[in-house]
Amino acid sequence: MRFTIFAIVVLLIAQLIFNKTYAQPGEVLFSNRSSSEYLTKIQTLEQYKVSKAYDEKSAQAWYDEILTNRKDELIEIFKDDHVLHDTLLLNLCNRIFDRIKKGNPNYNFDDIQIYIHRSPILNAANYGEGTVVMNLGLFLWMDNEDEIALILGHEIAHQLLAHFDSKVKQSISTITSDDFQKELRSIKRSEYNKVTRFRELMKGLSMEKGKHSRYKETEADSLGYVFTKNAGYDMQKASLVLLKLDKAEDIFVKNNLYSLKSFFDGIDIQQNYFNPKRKYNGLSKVNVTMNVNADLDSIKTHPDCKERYKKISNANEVSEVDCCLKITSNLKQYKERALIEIVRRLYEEDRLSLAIHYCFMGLNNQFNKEVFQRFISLCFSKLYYNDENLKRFNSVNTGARNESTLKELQDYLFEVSKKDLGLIAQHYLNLNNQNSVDDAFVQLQYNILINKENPTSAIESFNYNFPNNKYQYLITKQSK
Amino acid sequence: MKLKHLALSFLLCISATIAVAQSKQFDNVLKMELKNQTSIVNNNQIVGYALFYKVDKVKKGSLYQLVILDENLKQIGSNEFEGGKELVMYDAYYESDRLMLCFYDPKKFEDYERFVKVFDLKGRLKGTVGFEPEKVKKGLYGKGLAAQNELIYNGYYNIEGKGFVGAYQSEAKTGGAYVQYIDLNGKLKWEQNITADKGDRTDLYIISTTPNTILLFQLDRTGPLKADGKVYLVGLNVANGKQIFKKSMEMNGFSYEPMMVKKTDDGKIRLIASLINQDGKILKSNPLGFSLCELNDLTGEITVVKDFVYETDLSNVLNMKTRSKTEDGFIKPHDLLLMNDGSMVLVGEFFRKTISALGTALAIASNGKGPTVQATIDDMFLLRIDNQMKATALEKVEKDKVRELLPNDMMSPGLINRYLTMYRVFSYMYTDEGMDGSQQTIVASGSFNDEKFGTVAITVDEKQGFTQKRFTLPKEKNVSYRVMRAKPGFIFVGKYNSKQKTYTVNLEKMN
Repeated sequence: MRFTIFAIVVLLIAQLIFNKTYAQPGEVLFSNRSSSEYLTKIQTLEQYKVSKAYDEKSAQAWYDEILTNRKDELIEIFKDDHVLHDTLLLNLCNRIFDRIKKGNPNYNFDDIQIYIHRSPILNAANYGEGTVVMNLGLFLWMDNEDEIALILGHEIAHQLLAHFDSKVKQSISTITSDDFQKELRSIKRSEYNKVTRFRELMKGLSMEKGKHSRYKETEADSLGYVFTKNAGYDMQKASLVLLKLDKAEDIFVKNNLYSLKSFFDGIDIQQNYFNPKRKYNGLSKVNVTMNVNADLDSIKTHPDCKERYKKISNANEVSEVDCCLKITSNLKQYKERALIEIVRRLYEEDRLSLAIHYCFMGLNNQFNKEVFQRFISLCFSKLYYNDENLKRFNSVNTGARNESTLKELQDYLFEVSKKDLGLIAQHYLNLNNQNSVDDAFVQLQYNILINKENPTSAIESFNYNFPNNKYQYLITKQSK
Repeated sequence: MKLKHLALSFLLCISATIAVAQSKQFDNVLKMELKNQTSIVNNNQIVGYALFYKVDKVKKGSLYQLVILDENLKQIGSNEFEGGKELVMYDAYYESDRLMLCFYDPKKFEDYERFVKVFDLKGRLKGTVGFEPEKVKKGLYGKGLAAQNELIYNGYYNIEGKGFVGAYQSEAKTGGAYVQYIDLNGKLKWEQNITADKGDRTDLYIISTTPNTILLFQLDRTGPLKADGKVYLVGLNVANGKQIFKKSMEMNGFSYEPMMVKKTDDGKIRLIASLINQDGKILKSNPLGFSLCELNDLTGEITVVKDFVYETDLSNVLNMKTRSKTEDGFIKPHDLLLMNDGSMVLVGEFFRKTISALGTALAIASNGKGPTVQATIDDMFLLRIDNQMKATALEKVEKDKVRELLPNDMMSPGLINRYLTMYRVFSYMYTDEGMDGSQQTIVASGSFNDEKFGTVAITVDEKQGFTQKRFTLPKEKNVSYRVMRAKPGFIFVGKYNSKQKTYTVNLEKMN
């Protein structure tokens, strides 16, 4: 649906006039996005110039290109709002970071800055120029600060050990070697088998890089351990996070995470979605693993998590950890914050199966009911609209694994009729029909996307009632 | 080729995040022919998709990447194989964890070379079976021309638990067909040459298979332009290719032309046939109705459940002008939907024979030479039949008229029907029977209600009424689309961007 230019101009002017948003009592706040919050960081990155590291011209050219690419990637991350300025999660990380700094006075941590990445995956990363990102998905599964400290310590160790630089330099040394260059020239000149030979050449490089990375991970584990221990954290508790890494995908691949049917009880929709009398079986029912010739382990960068756990905890046996099938109530306020922001991100990106999946996880684990019910209504309104505009499959498809709860949800969202999508959106809308900006936004989306209300007047009315609201960026994005 | 950029992608794996795919995109596609993507069929249902594209030039031809996707576009297998310079894949079938992909090499088109390859689901090649070109004799117009015009038939089917069957028209002029049975390891188990009884021309099509029998529709006639002809239903023994039965389809004063076979939940095999006048045969045939029969696949015994004759059985919903013509024109039956509640819906289109202004002008300009008539294809329709076998309603699906100049003024309605079907002039594309049969969707292309040419899904409910959904594909520079059949309830849309060298595949819900 396209809004008029007039509506967009009005919205943009409104945003210019009111460049700050004010919360209403009881309103759920969203964290500020990086494109507006980290302007100085973006500016610094944009001004970054690659320093001279090699006398040899081609090696320097590779160095320039790799570091420029890193810069561009980082600029994109900040400009495209992959990062959030979430004060709650940042304060937690910075408090832990301060403790690490105090516990390790002989190290210089001045270059390190911590950011919150909006990815739902249990992970963190270091970009080599001081940036450490902690994913939102990490916070869902952390049960104490000791675990967060170990992850943070590990990423900081990567920075202090200059692993990125050494990885780049090692790759450049291989690429600029006489043998490599000779083979590359020969490939360029050849008439046949260009791609095959090039792939073989790069496969060797990848395997070398994989071995190098595994070694570097072990090195970062060791220094991260020192940092965390010196800061006074409980290493027995902290080391369990390594076992959780092994289960990071459980939320996507395991079954019985929640009862899908229970979320649609009391809604007057068809029930045969849940008990399909299917004559049909597609190839997804056949258990096949991908890539006939791929040696997946050969390029795996992280060493085995269980071995890492044993080394750090000094344990002989590996104990079972409670992850990642239900979101526990430990550190609940951080988990709730992360969960809301994950859902918001997935909703923004139209990854609606995943957004609904996380909402159901939130509801099933007794997190903020009102927020997730509203998001469910928003997602179903959007699905209804996407169905009409040939975008439903893309917003539903997750490539989920057979017999997982996510697959059950995905298949349900493939099958449910358009009419029933509307009924579900309405049902979840009606559960929280207060006069708050959040409820009004859910109603607005329902009215525009399902009831086909005139978007210009509906948005004008919404902005009149809730001037300077936090949803304006979403409305602007939608109108584009 | 930008090797440096490819190398960079290897070097710049800094952060480890798992991307959750939304639609499927393939990069670095050297050359993508949209025809080289096809649905994988099992028992007339789409269970997945196969794509292949060229990734490298090798000495004797090209290196191809084969990609196997499940019905939700999730990649389950891939492999590479070498082949001719420009291979074309035109069909794919699934049976018992095996895929049979059907190829030809356009460079050898004159020789009519066809071959199939059997793979496992990971993409490992199990075997290759070819159809040797020397088996095709030169016909009236030459086999190359016949093949170019797609007048040479190839048909394939899976055989439950056993393998695959392929049939090739063996001679362009004098008729005959080769039937090949290929096992799950990609080995040719037997091959059978079928010709007409008196050495006349035979057209032969695979209708369906059961675990015991390969069912074929055989039409024997004395020559390509001869009016006389005989219609048979032939059953071949899966085990050895021997003929089990050859059943004449001339019964009850009608000639029954098998349209399709449907296997119902009660284990019965239903044969749906169109009825033409027995004396009409090929050139003088008139469509008179359709029939629902039960078939015994071991003996070939056919039991007529009900003949629906337009003039008598359906006159309460059709206004007949003659035995075969309604007020809206002649009827082309496409499918008989068997609904779960026992009711049926006949899907068809009306067509007429009209005078062509262009044809007439051309005929005048050429001193009376050339055809002056055209076929005008009108609305689609859904004819409802209740579970007591009574016609209850006719619902029209309005669409713009399509006109096709006919090659001969003397063509009978039956022959026009064949001609329009062969050249795919009708709007009907296929029927999607849904996940459980409660809703069936007819996919058609054309101009509906003054909207521009596009693809339309018409979903038929067990009760009366239908819903329509249109699929309008935007026109973009350097972008080409392919729409094809997908898993039940969905339609497949492939988009190739020749500038960006990307190929995106997507499914859209039809109802």
